[in-house]
Amino acid sequence: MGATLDPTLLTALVGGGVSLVVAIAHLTGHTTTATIDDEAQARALYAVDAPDAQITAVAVSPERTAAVLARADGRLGVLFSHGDAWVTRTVTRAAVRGNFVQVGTGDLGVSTRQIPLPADWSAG
Amino acid sequence: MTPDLPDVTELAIPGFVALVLLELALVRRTGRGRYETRDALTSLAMGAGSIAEGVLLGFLSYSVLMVVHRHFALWQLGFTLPVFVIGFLLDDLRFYWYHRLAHERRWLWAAHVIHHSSQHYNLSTALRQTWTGTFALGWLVRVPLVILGFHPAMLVFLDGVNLVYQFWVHTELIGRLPRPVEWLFNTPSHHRVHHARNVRYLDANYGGTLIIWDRLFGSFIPEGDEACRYGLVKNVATFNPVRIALHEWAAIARDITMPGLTWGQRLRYATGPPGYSHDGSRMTTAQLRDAAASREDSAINTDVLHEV
Repeated sequence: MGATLDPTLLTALVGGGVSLVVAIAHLTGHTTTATIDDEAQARALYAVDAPDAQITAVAVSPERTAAVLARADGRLGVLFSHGDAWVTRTVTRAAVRGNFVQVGTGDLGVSTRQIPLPADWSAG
Repeated sequence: MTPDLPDVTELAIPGFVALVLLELALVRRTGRGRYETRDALTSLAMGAGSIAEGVLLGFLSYSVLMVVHRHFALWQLGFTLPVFVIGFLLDDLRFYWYHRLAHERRWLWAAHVIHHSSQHYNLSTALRQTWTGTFALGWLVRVPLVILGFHPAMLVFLDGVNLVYQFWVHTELIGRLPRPVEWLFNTPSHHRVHHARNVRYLDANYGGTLIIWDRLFGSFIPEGDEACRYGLVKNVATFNPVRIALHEWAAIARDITMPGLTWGQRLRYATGPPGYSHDGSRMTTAQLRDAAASREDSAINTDVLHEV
């Protein structure tokens, strides 16, 4: 096998490099959360992953980082921010928990996302 | 005697860090490209984990290749310069086929999907590497070269050179390069297509250093007017490196243990194309392409009707 760096030096290089990049990325404003402008944007973002879905209603969360979209086939489209990007999921009505739609993410500290439904949500 | 070849990937780490910092500065200055702190941290953590996996488990695959070299090699080609040059070209061809299989067969995809799990495309994405490469057995694609007589130490060295080459192509800052370069080499433009999840760009441009393998084997797609959207057909919703490293393996385990499947269906869930499903609930790349083509056809028909 090829010669490797001294483990202490390798650890220092990797640890130092990761810390430096992350610190500079954060300090230069790259720690951001995407937000939805309006329902039309929510539809457009969801359509990227589900172009054939017929959307009958859209509810954007109050903090504008997530949306629930009612589909004509009875399922729900879910759109939520992931850093400065978006993730979509399509779930059944079983994911509705009271006034929320719950989606598992497996993320550190936020293993599920609960997206609130408005009080007048009629598509549910 | 086996020369003590350096691990070029480890030696390149200071260069990787310096170039990521330079790219961060240029993204800020030019507005081209994107970084997100947690995404970059995840990519770098995956890279660190991949190095650790290599240090801890790399000897397993290397030992197997050494056994093949000692007992089954047809020739002992040695370590001369011409052997290095020919070895580099053949190892690049080996990388092409390994990489293609890693996209077309779910067992290898489960290890490789990690590299495609970011929705960003920057130099930190290049470092988002697998933790399960030894387990996935993709290194077995090297066996034919070992049987031909290339020493495993040389192949590990050449693979490192190839990986270091591929680092710089992970950027949105570099547009198209002069035509001869784009024709011969894997470039940022070609590799953006490889990382794109737009249906028209899926499963293309597998080349490591040279793009000629894609031209030769019909998998080349040039970067067109449609802007690349990066990531997976179904994107991960986590920055947790452990989840990212293992999520597709967990999905395979869930799928093959579903009740009511035939053994053939279980086998296809593990080794068929990503997106295979026994009940049509998911789509492979071929099926996604067919669906997109149907949409385009119906859109064209609608336009024709409007014109009439």
